[in-house]
Amino acid sequence: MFSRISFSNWILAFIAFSVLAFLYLPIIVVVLYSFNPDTVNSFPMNGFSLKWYQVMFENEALIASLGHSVAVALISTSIATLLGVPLAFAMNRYAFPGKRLLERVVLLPLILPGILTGIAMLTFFQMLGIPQSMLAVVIGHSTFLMAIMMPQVYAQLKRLDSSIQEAALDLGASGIQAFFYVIFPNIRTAIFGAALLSFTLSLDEIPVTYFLNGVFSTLPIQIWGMTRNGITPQVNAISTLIFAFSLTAILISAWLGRKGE
Amino acid sequence: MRQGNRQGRSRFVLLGILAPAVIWLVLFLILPYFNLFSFSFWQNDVFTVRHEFNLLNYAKFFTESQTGAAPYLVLLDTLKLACWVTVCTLLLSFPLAYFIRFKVTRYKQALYMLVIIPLWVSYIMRAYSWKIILGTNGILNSFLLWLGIVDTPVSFFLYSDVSVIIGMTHIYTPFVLMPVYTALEQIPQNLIEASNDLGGNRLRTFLHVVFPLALPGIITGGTYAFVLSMGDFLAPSLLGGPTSSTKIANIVQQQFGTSNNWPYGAAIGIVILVLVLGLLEVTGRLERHFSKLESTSPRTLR
Amino acid sequence: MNDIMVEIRNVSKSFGKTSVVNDLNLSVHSGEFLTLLGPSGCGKTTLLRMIAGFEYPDKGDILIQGKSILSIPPNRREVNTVFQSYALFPHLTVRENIAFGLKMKKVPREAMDRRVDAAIELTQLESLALRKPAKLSGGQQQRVAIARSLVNEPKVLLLDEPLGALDLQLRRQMQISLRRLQRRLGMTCVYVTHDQEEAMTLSDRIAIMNAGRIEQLGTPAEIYGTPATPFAARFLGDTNFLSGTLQRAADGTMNRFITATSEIPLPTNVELLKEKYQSLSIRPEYISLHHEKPTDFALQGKIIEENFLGLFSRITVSLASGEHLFVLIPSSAKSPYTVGDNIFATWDPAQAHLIGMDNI
Repeated sequence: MFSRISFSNWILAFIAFSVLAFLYLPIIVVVLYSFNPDTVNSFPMNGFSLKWYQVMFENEALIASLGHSVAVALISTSIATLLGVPLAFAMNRYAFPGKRLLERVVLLPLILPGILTGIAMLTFFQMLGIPQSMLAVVIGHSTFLMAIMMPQVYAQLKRLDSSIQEAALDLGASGIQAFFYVIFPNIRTAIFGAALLSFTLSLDEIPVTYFLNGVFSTLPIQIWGMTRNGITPQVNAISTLIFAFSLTAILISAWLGRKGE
Repeated sequence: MRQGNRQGRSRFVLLGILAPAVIWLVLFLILPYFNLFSFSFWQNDVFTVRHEFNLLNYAKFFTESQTGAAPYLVLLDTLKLACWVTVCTLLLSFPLAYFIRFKVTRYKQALYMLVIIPLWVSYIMRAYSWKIILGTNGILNSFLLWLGIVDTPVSFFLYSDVSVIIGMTHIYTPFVLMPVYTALEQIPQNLIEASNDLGGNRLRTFLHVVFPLALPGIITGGTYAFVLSMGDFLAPSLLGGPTSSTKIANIVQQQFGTSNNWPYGAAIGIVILVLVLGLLEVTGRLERHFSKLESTSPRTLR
Repeated sequence: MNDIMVEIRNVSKSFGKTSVVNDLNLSVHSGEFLTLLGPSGCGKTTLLRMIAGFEYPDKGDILIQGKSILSIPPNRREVNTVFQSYALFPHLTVRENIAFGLKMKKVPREAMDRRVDAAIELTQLESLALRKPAKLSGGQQQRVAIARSLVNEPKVLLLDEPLGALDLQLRRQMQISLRRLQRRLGMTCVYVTHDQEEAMTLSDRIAIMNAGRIEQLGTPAEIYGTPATPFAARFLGDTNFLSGTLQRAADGTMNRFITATSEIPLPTNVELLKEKYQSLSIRPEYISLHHEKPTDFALQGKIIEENFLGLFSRITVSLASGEHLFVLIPSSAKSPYTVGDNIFATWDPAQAHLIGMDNI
């Protein structure tokens, strides 16, 4: 009896760790091979070198696109924060007609395939006279990043004791004071965490960007182009750097999340 | 009168807070979708779009194609692919989520983090990684050569439906894992103890308690995997072969690119949109139907 | 005796189609501890929130010291609330929580420190001043919530079931210290609870609320001794109801209450009552039981149950009419009664009260 239970547990553990390996192996491969001196990614590795990092840093188009992506991510995250936080606050604090619908609409760009949002925006922007450009990309990113920002802040607001807003008013604070002295300090970490995730997502976004960028190239679009024209280990190097950045961002936001609870 | 003033003021404040976000969403999200819808009934001329209502684009969708199969056949092929990805991601996610929820005691939180991290790892990095692993000169082949299992590189790993499915499964598994784990996490330990107490063995407890309660999470996760893989045009173009690289989203992409027939692309987009929204509606209903746990928990009343 | 601090005039409030407070009138005296007692959904919390300014009445007016406060938003009303959930600000320390109201009113630094110190001392929070609320026990959090309101010296302190989350022992302790504090500061308090014992311990007066109305307003002793309605009788203490009709004496002898099986003498003050009154309320502790038939009136019955409750034992008597009578007798080592005994129940006619049944 005992041995049978532990045997089935052992099988389960084996499956679980195989899945985990499946999830991580490709990532580990890319990281490892970014240090491989060869042009071809073959097994076994042929020593250790930072050659591809050097090549990557000398690739002006790639570095320019990195700059573009950081700019887009910073601006879009700021816009999504400025729009999403008040929206979450209003959703939590007030009852108004169409609230449920609004909540669903905000989430649409996250639920629907990116290509649909991309082509919808492309056709409409064309009519509005917004050309395929950085501006169009920023508008696109800001819109889908609201779908990250709003629910995260909304969830944190719901977790807060709703009567602390009333308590602040009761103790003489105006509505604005109540927000900045009482509500904001309690959702600050949630906002920061969501902003960090938004930034990471914006840096990685392709489907929407692809239809809106025109000649304005972002980092993932640039990498995608590089991978389509055959394999270059520069991609391993830049991917490893992005991975390191994302990992840091995730760990910080998780740590903040735990601290916030 | 005074009451009118105070309530009026609160309404004014609400409007001030809501307006920027709502205007933004209407202008940059809702109107674009409606515009896409009307676009799908228009016609393409040489350099402009003719604004004239007709159903030709939809008719075209079910008949002809410049390259390869008729688009609706591509759609069916894409749905088949999406089904495969959904099944694979669920088969991988469930045991892992179950293991973390019920078998791990120490470092549970850390392990869950570890599982979720790939969700935030660059999409392009994950898709590309399979290209260097599965390619003819790739790592898997050189590994097999090195082991002496094969003497010449195997070329069929990459550029096939299978490589697309593998890549997508890898990319979308964390999306499925999250809701499945959340559903399992919400099952109270005492329910499982109660089932054991009432004489249910492990299999019966699993079948009659754990699985039904995890079903809403499984449905959510499966829906994510299906919808996301259905609309993905990057993984097929990176990992797919001559025929398998053209999924329905790739046809849309072509209409807005090389083929330059936006109204037709819009029509296919609307077909996908309707399918996705329909699917979300159905799975949403199923989820609510199976959310027994929620309906029996006490609700808080104001 | 005292001037009126809060006056509620013909106030009505509904949420959608549900009427929550219904044409309610109430005056709270200065320095008085008044409790709104009633079951959940009776409108007591809504009434409190209207005084605080978080809800706005549909009809009627609310005055403090004779002036309507309806046009004043909650942050400028001279009332403070102790919330059911305490609503302490999680990111601020105990001291910062208490200082919040004074900071909002821009009280000068020195005066603020002095008043905060006084409030901390009053609530014995000296050793916890620098902690965050999450690091406090329920009772400690509750004291912070009270101190945070008191420090603003409000004209009226509103308390919304502030002890509801505490365990029984701590609750009794807090009741006593709250009452002591209120007496010392001469503060006007409006307190909301559904706990009858708490209401009796704390209050100068109790307003029993039911379905958006006040069923009875009076001192705890008044309501307990002479409940005006069956609801009031049942909500404050336990009682027995006997149904029957009132027979007025023509010649100055006792009025009588005629039930299906017996005639019960009534006190003389029932002349004031009208014919429609037809239910007799008698508290369980006023009934005495006898094995032999007493000389004056008695109801005959059979003991069907005896429960030991600690200080008292509760005996259930089944009357000939089929009605059950609950009787409380002081516990003793050996109970003089056993289940199955035939028994006679009697009481001092002055302790029984007629209640109009049309008020149910």
